[in-house]
Amino acid sequence: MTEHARVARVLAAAGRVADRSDILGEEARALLPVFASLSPEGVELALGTHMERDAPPENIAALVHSVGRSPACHVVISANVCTAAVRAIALAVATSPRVFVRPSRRDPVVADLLVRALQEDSAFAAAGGEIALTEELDPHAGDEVHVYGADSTIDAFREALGPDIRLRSHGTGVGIAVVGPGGDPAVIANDLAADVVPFDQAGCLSPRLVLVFGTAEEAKALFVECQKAMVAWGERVPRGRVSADLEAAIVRYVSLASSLGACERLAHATVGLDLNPESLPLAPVGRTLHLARMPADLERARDLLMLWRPFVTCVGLAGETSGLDEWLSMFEPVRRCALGQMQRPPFDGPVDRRVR
Amino acid sequence: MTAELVAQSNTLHKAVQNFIGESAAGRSPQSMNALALAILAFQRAHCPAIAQRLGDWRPPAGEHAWRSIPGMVTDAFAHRRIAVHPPALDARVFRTSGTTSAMAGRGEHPLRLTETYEVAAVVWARKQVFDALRPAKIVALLPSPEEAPHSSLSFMVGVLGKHLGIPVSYFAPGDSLDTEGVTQALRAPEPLCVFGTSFALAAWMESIEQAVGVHPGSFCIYTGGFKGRSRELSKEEQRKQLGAALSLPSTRILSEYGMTELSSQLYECTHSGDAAEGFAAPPWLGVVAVDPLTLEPVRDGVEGIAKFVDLANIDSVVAVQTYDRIVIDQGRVHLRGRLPNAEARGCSLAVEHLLRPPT
Repeated sequence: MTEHARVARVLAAAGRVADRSDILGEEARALLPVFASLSPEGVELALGTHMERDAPPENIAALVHSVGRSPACHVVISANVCTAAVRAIALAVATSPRVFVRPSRRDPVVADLLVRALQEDSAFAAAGGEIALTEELDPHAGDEVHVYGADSTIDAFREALGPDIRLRSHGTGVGIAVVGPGGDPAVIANDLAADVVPFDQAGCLSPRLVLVFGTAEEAKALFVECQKAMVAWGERVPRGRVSADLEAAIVRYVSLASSLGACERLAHATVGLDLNPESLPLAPVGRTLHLARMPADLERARDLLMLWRPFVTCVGLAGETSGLDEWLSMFEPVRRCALGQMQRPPFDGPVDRRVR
Repeated sequence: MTAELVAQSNTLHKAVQNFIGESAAGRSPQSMNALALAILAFQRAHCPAIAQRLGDWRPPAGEHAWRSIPGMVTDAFAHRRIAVHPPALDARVFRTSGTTSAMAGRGEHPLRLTETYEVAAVVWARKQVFDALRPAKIVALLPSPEEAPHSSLSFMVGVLGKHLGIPVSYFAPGDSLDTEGVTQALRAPEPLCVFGTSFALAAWMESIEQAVGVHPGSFCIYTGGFKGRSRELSKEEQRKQLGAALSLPSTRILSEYGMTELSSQLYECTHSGDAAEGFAAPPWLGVVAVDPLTLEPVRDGVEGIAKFVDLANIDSVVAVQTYDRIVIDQGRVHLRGRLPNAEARGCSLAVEHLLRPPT
C-alpha cells in the first residue's frame, strides 16, 4: 500500500541521516551539537542508536492504521528531541501523500535533512509522496495538522485552526521509572541511565522521576548505583551545553533535594533521594534524577502520583512489579516497557498514547 | 514536643521581640548575628529538613556569619513540614498561592505562636507607613482572615488593623472580588489605606469606567508585580496606573514585599520624600543577594536572588532562599522579577505547566 511505502521511505531517509558516511549524516553531525545543545557523543547516540531507521512490517502497518487520511497533512515539529522528526514525518506521510513540514526554529536540523532526502527520493515520489518545508502553515478544510510541542503551543493552534481542520497534538509530558523489589541495582541503574542520557533527558519519554517500591536499603543501594551509572555514562557520552537557566534550576533542585534527603551533584548528572516522600518534586532536565521510595500503602502511593498522572507519557519498569499491576493501571493507556527501552518505543504509532 | 523545647522556643521568641522593641525605640539591639545563629541551632536540632539542608555547614567566625547560612529553598515548604513543633501545636498555618515548583499542592508555613509575627508586622509597618500616614480605614481587596485563615496577607492586614486601631473592610469573599463594593468604599470622605495584591487592584481598575477620587489623605499599598497581563508592567507604570485610578499622586502609591514563607515584610515608601527608592527591610530581617549558580553572596549593586534571614521565623526556618531577582543598593532592596524555571524545550514537562493560577 502506498502509505506503507511512504513510511518505509521516511525510514530510509532516516537511515541516510544516521549514516555518518552519507552527506546528510555529515551535515547532521556538524549541525546538531550547535542546535540541539548535545555533545558530539550525544549526537552520535541520538543518530546512531535512537533514530528509527527500520521497523518490522507489522509495526509499520500499526503506524499507518493509527492515523487518519486527509488531502494534506501539515506537521509542526518541536525542538526537544532532535530525532523526533522521523516519527512525526512518518505519521504525516501515512496520513496524506502531501505533507508540509514546519521544523522547530530552535532545532530544524533533522527535519530539514529528512525533507531533503525525501524530495530526492524517486521511490517516495513513486508512492505518491510530496513533501516540502514551510515556515507558515496554510491548511485547507479537510486537512490535518499535527502539532508536537508544549501544551501552550498546541492551545494556540487549537484556537487558530477552524473546525474543518483536524488537529492531532502531542504535548507536554514526562517519563517515569517504576522499580519493584528485587533485581540487581547495578543493572537497574545502568538501564535507567540508558533512558536518561539520550537527548540529555529533554524528551517527553525521558524519565525524570524514579519510584522505588522496596525497602529503604534497596532505595539507598539504587541511589548509589545510579550515581555510578550516571558517571560511567557521562564519561562515554558527556552531557551537552547547560544554559545558565538550567544550571540555576539544577542548583535549586540540589538545595531542595538536600532538604528532603540526599543529593549528589556529579560531573554530568544529579541524583537525589527521598526515603519518605510527602510529595514528589519535578527535577529539571539535564540528567537530573529524583528517586523516591514509595510507601507500601498503594493508596498513598497513588495519591502521590495524582498530580503527575496527566503528564506521564511512558512508564519504564524494573524489578518485580507484578504486584503493582493495579496501581500501574492508573497510567493507562500510556506506553509501558522495560527500563532501558524507554527511548526506543516500537515504531507503531505516536509515542504519546494519552487520550486527548 | 517536650516542655523543654517549648521553653527554648519561648525564650527565643522573647529575645526576638526584645530585639524588635529595641530597634523600634532607636536603641541598638543585641547582635542580629548571635540571635540568628542561636535560632538556627535550635531549628537544626529539632527539624530534620533543616538539619539535612545544613549538612556539615558550620557558621564561620565573625559578625556576618548569618549571611552565609544556607537558605531553605521556598520549594521545600511544599514538600516537607518546615517546623520544629508538631502540627498539634500550630497556632496558624499559612499557605502559598501555589506559585512554586512543586508537584505538590501549596507550600505551608506553620506558626506555633503568632505574637512575634504580629509584633514584627506592626512595628515595621508603623515606622514605614502608618506613623506618617494615618488612615481612618483600610479598604482591603482581600478576603478576611476568617474567610481565608491560611492567607498570610489577610492575617497581616488584620493584625495591622487590630494593633493600629484602624477598622478594616475586606472585599474579596471566597475567590471573587467585590469590585463595586470597593469602588463604593473608596468614595468615603476620609483618608483611606487601599491595600491589595497587584492582581486584585488590576481587576478592580478594569471594572471602573472612570477614576475614583479618593480622599487626598489616602494612599495605596500594593504587593506583587502586575503579572498575568500581556506583559509585566514596570514599577513606574504600576504606580502611574494606580495613581490615575485613585486620583492620587504616585508618591501615595506604596509597595509591600513579603511572602508566605517569611514572618517579616519590607516596604517601599515614596511618601516620605526619601530619595532612596527600593524596599526597606527591618533590622531583624537580613537580605542577601546571592548568585543563582553558586548561592554565594554577590556585591551590592550586582543582581542576585534573594535570601532572607528572618529572626521572626523562630519555629520554622530562619534562612529562606527565594528565586526573586534583586539588587541591593545603599541598603535598599530593588526587585527585578523572578528567576524563571528552566523551560525544557517542546513537549518535555516543565515546571510552569504545574503552576496554579494566582488566587
